[in-house]
Amino acid sequence: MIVKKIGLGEKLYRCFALQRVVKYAKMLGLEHSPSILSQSNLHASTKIIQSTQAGQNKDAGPKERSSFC
Amino acid sequence: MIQLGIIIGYLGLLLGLGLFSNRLFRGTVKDYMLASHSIGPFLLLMSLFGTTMTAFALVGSTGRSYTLGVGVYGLLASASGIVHSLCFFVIGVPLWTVGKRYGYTTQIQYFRDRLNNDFIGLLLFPILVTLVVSYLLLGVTASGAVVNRVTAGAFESWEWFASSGYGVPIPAASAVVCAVVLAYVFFGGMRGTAWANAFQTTVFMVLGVITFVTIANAIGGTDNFFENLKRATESISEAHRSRERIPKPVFFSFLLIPLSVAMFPHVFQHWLTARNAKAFKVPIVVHPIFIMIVWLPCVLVGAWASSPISGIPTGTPENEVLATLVRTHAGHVLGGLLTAGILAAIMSSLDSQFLCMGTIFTEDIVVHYSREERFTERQVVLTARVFIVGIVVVTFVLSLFPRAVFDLGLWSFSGFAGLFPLVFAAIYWRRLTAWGAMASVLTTIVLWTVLFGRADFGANRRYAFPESPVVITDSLSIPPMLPVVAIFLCSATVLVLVSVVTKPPNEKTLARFFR
Repeated sequence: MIVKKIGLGEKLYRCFALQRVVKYAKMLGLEHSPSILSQSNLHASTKIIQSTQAGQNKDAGPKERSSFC
Repeated sequence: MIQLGIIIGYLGLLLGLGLFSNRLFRGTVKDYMLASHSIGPFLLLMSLFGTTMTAFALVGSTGRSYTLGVGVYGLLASASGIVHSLCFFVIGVPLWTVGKRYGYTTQIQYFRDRLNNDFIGLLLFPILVTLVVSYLLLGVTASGAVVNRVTAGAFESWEWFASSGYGVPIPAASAVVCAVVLAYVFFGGMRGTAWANAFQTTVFMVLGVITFVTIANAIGGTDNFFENLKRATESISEAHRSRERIPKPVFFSFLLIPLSVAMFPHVFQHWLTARNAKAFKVPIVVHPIFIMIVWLPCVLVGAWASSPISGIPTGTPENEVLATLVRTHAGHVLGGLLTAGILAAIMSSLDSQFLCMGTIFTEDIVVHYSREERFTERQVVLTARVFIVGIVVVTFVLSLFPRAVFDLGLWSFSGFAGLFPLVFAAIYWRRLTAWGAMASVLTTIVLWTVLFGRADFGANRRYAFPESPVVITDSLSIPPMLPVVAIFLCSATVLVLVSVVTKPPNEKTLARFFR
């Protein structure tokens, strides 16, 4: 995914919990839409979600997270 | 008189629908306010679309296109089509998820829980009520104007009606429309509103297309529809066929206006009626197409009205352009049906707004500040109904002081757009704090009030901010733009800055909303 290749993009993506958008797309059943969320994009997004969730578990305390996020 | 008969017949039909939907009412608060989360994709599409399309889309766009030309379509319709759907997806689905999980009925309940702060409710309450009432005024004012214009001359022997062009006086027409909407909202609640919206959306879309074809054929004057389209368009000035009457900064600042839909309390309430998340899929996909079907004809006929062959007198007030076109070019029967279509669009928004006002007063003030379990389900429904009656009366009284439909709508939408950063951050930004949220809402309130005052309370239709270009360097300056830009940017900036410098929200609260 483009945002993963750009460091700042990925930070913002995680900071703003934008990975949730993919979750909502799945809830609507949009994961099969070739134009909106291709399988490869979805796969990459799912990996980010997993890594973000793992990160969130590790830095549960607010002190360990950046002041902006 | 034929038009009046058709209008009365249509209003009677709606009354019947409202009374019928009352028989489906299950007697609970959740059913009255949210139709027990039972609305499927089709009804959700129709009710959301009917709610977002109002006098602003029909009467306002036609009138403004008459003055400014076809660029009006780009101002709002093209952006709305995309931004509305995006809001349904990015804001609507998450709010539906937490709303269903925690049993919310209003936005204020969500924000109180999300920010773990009670005062945010008191801060949001007046601004939401003020903005919805000014939005309501759009519909009430426009409905009166439409009926008056179409029935002008029908009561020539009635001296009482001389001051209103021998048509139904605007206040009387507005009062009847309010009474009909009140009746089916009062009895049918959200279920009645959803069904009435679906019916009315169908009516105004079908009749809208018929209006378009009828007016095009009347102005073009040939038997060939496409030839008529060409002739009507060629008859308008070059300026009306382009965006040149709309300055670029103003044009682009309009892109922020559709974000307002994310904070409409009545849209929030409709979102929560969805049976499941998948019900959102159809509205998200079809809404932009429906917008095009409604807006394109309105903007085109508005532009055609400016041509000398349209038969519309020069200087016709914007609010009256559509009604005058219908009256001039459609026969009596079609004229009456088309007027019913315009009223359908207007009333399909009024109903949701009246219902959401009653819901907000009941849930966020009366129930929230009363002792737990003090009210029975029946008493809560009764309270909501009483508040709905109160709001209808207040709105009607305020409608006796008319403003241009388009401009009043813009101020309402600007205020809601100023609250967009709040709802977006609440859903996606863990670091949002109650202080940041309150500072952002206060900024919106103060700026909106100051700028609305500077614009002579909406009377100055060309008001822009900054009021004159602010020169930064020789080649860089900030041009005058719609007030929504300043409101939105200040609100977002204050939200971020205050949140970052105040204590982060506690993890327990975040865990409830960031699963």
